[in-house]
Amino acid sequence: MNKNGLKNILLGICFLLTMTAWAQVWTAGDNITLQISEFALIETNHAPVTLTLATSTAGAPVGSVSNSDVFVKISSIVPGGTDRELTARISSGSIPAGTSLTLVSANCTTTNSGGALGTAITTPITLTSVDQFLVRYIATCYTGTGYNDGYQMTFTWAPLNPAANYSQIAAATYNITVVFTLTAHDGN
Amino acid sequence: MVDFKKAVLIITVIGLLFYMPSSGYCQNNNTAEVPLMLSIPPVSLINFAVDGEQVITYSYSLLEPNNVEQIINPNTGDNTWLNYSSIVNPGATNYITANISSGSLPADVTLRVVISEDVGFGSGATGTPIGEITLSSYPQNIIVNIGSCYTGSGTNRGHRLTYIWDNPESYNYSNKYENGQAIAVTYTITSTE
Repeated sequence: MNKNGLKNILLGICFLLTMTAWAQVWTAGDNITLQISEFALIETNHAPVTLTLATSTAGAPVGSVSNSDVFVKISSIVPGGTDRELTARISSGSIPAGTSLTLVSANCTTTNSGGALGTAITTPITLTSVDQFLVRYIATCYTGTGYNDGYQMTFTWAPLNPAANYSQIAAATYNITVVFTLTAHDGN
Repeated sequence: MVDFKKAVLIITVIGLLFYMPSSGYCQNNNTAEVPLMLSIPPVSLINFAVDGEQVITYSYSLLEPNNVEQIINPNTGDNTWLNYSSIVNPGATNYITANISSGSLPADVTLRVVISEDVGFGSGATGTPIGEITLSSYPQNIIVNIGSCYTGSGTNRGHRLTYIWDNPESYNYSNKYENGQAIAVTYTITSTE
């Protein structure tokens, strides 16, 4: 095999690679190749979440407080037979001493959505720095893009075992960031 | 043969160049962040509960939630329970004072109050009672070092107050009350900050 021959082979292979990568190729026989890449897109409605522990009755402990303003929107395409999960964790800040912050997802809203939107886990997770499942079995689907489309998230903040820990609660303001992740499909 | 190996390497590299962007593109936006603001404001709330109906009480809880007033007479006895809720800033505590806020005692009458330990219905860093004080028009500490805690609301919760009158015969309660000169004691919860 001389050098020129090798170059020609290389050029030929490169040309073939280019054609498959561009996904739609008309050949002499009018064959059409349609390609769908798997993808996972996630966004929230950017609702501000402010929670305040308070009480107005002398003698009463501060009560639990909830916020359900955040909706998580996704678009997902998966290879056949695979699915994704929606998870959450704390990426910055920490939960104030003597309290716990839980999160639970509702099933996806139905108004503007379609596809295999998965199943929300009904038991709230206690948020930590480790990802935990909120929704499982998400396959190819879309949630809609409206402010109140998608998976409605309910944050609940409350004293943690007040009989033992109440004295640890300190007046202050705490900033926390929660990260939602739409995982790679489980065939990856 | 060396050339052929080189060719295989080049083909592999070119192949990877085409493959990587397409898989990388899929993973771009698979996380979303939500900022949360968690806020615990300081709390200092006080109230009392009275066992029985012989005692008239006023509470200023709407305008001044950190103080309450109780009208007492020689029959008040030990039927009053002081309830409070407290959340403190780091390093601070709350304390409770008591003073006679209206009415005046005859010269030979003194009025003492004994403050018991918290009965433990609630939780947290409940305060330390001073024990006993002789009430005057000047606020005096009765419970100190209150951290973040709650006592529960109602009778048999919090600290029991026992009023002791010396020479109560010369204090004509019904006359004083009708003339608006009844003895009132105000309890105030305050932060050390």
